[in-house]
Amino acid sequence: MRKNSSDRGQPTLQHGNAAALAEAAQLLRQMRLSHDHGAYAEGRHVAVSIDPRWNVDHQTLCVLITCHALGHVRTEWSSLPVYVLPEGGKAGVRVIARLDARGQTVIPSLPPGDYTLSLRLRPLRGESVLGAKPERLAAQGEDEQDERRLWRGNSEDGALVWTIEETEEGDVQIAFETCEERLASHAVVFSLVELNSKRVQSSHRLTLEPTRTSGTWEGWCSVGSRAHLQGPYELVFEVVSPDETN
Amino acid sequence: MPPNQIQTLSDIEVAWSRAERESDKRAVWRVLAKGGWLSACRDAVQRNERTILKTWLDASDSTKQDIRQFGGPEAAQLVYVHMLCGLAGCGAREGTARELLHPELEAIAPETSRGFCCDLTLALVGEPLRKAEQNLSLSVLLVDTARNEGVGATLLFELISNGRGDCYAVPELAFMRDKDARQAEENARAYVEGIGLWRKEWDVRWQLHRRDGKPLVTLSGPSMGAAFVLGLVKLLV
Repeated sequence: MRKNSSDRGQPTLQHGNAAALAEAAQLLRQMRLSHDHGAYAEGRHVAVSIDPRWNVDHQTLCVLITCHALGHVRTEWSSLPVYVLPEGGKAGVRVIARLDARGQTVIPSLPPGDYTLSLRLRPLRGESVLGAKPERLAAQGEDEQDERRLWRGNSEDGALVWTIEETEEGDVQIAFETCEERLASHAVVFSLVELNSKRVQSSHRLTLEPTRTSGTWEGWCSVGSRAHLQGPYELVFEVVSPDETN
Repeated sequence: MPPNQIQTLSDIEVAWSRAERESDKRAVWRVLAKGGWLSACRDAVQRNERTILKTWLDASDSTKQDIRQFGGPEAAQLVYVHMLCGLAGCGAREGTARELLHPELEAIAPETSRGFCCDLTLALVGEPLRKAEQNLSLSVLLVDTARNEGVGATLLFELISNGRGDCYAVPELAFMRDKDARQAEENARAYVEGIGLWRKEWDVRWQLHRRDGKPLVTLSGPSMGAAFVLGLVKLLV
């Protein structure tokens, strides 16, 4: 009996979660962030607040974003990314800030300006990459540099493996590889996000294309010179279907 | 085996078999391009491994074909040239005076400089490259993108008699220029030919050395083009 009652409750909980998340996404799309003012919006299931405050340097803003579920709906906010982009598609600082389990995130240093916000409803996992180079002794020879400098990992479901490599030329290359045929021709959208400021340093979309090895698909590119990618960064990525514009 | 320890043709296959991902294969190929192919072919010639060299020319060996072709069609042609020159080197070591130029070379890589093939064969045998009649060196500034700093280097041009009007790099640099760098080199040669200075019966061989003695990495971009024009003009006037 207990089992049945629990099963009956689950759909309600999931439905409430989904409704709250969808509403939060809708509210955030309608809200604007500006250095002049914050924003607050409330719907049936959630309340969202955007609270910008000047940092002591009076050059940048610290922004607290809070998504709060109303009532007793348990909402899975953890790792959902909030995208903060310059309004009107202008060039400027872009931010990806992931919500914590309480539905909050802090952007510690945002230049003044007008920004749009959006919430993606798929959790993004972050992987720390491109950390500082290890100290080398002056007497070390060139040959000792031959060891490859790699960062590697998997997607949460293990279907996709990624590699970031700093080549001897100082080029930083990223590759996503899969043996899952269902992902063929899908795209991987990834960003390198500065750990502290949450600013997007680099962002690309790669298509998983067949390699010379049968049953393997890969997308790879250079993301720039290591001299300009000091790191450390958080790598965030998601797989999207070919027709999806994320 | 770390990829940097590739010294023989069998090392290449071992490194390839251990390369689980495409990024690992690219890393192996980078090592091959930076002297791995040259070292492995030189070793094969020293050991007179004709049979092994021939297997690398065999189109039915899918693994070797994969390795050869991984770097793209132009690099695959260059690997093919290395194997043919290796076979020629084996013949030269045996004193059988084997012809350097093969019908296969004409069919697969017709635009490959014959002067380059001759020097590559000499390098694989372990003999000095063709003797230069004149040379000219220029100081150039490279950008070390790994450190984001300028690096002084010496660009050396050598004029070689009994040539066919070819301009080519020493074997060590064969794989180490990207498409833009090779195009800049070709544009410079075409310019010098256009102003009537090029000599059809001579070859020009060039090489580049960092002044700090560190090894070169892949030369990328067209920025060497101006230095090439200047060097070729000064050499040929």
